[in-house]
Amino acid sequence: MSLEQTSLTALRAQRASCHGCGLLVQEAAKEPQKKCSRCGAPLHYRNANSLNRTWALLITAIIFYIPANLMPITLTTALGKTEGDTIMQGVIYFLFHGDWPVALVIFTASILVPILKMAALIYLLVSVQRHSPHRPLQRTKIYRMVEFVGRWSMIDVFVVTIMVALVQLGAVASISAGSGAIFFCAVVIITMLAAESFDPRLIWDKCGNND
Amino acid sequence: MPAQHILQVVTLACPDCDLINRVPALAPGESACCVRCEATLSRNPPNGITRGIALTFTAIILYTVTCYFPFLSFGEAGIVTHTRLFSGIIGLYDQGMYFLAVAVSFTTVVVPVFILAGLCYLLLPLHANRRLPGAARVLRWIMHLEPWNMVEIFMIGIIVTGVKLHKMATLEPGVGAWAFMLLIFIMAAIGASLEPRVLWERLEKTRCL
Repeated sequence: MSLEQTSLTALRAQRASCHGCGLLVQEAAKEPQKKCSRCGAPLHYRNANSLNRTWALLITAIIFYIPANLMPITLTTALGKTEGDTIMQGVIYFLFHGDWPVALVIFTASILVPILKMAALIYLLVSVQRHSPHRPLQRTKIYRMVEFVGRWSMIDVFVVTIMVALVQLGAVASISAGSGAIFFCAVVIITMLAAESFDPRLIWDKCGNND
Repeated sequence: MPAQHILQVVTLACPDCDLINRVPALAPGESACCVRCEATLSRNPPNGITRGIALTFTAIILYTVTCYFPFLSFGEAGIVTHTRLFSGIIGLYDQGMYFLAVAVSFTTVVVPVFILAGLCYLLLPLHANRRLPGAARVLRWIMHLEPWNMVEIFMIGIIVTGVKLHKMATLEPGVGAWAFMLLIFIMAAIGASLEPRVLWERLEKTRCL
């Protein structure tokens, strides 16, 4: 079979592209447990259970996102009084104290990006399940975006970490992490795993035409 | 130009859309992308392995400096807190936030250290056309863990914290923080100079020690 035709996918040519090293391996289907001859990674045509796994992780992330926003991410103790701050309270605080760039960074990284990321994954999953032929290139680009920006939501977790280390001024003020931070960190990690388990090749498999 | 620096013609399936692409020969500095979905299929960074080794050692030195020198100090005359890179992780652990302590240490300590150590293990023998046992497994793990290396995000976290706290007291970066800042750029340069395909093809040709 000639591989020079530009409309042929590896799946149709009965070849598997290795996940570990990108080597194009022939006839992977005949031996289910076959490993890549170059790097030793297990071979498969598509990520195993890609859609189910992504849905499971995504739903977990959505559930965790609720306490992440309702519970305080930092607990500030100043002059004997302890006060909790949620992510949104932090954004509003900086907005009304003239620090709108900080408000914007926190709002983008902690609220906008996670919501857009989860919405984008839902859109990708639903469109693949409905065998949508609609704009596969744009959907692939959306996927790349989700994969790229996902990690940046960790900013807020790191900000909490650094503040925990820095603001220990004894009786004057001290900051500790709140339980919202745990949920928020879990949301970031779980959505990263969800994006990793989604297989963008399914977008092209199911869209019918291979233009 | 020596022939070994040119990447040969190869047939690859696109990782994003599975289309089979015939990738032309790539001279140093060139890269190829998928004809259908525009994913980068292959790059040929000039002197990748030599640069990779130099940058990896630079990164190791900078990371050591970051760990041993004062990182950030915060406060006003009299009450000043001095911190190290690990202070935040220790603080979270002391407060019983074990999950956060583990997540932060994994993304800012364990993964970067593993990647740097793994690159040493891989690149030094590869430079002499040799490989050590388990080299393929190490390279696979490095690539797998790469998105979990979050040093650059931690750096942005420092800047955001600085702006957040600037009305409370003065935040002073120490030698460690400056070294960390440089580390971000070196880490990015390592990523730019190493192409998985080049490493895999070199590994394939070498003998195990």
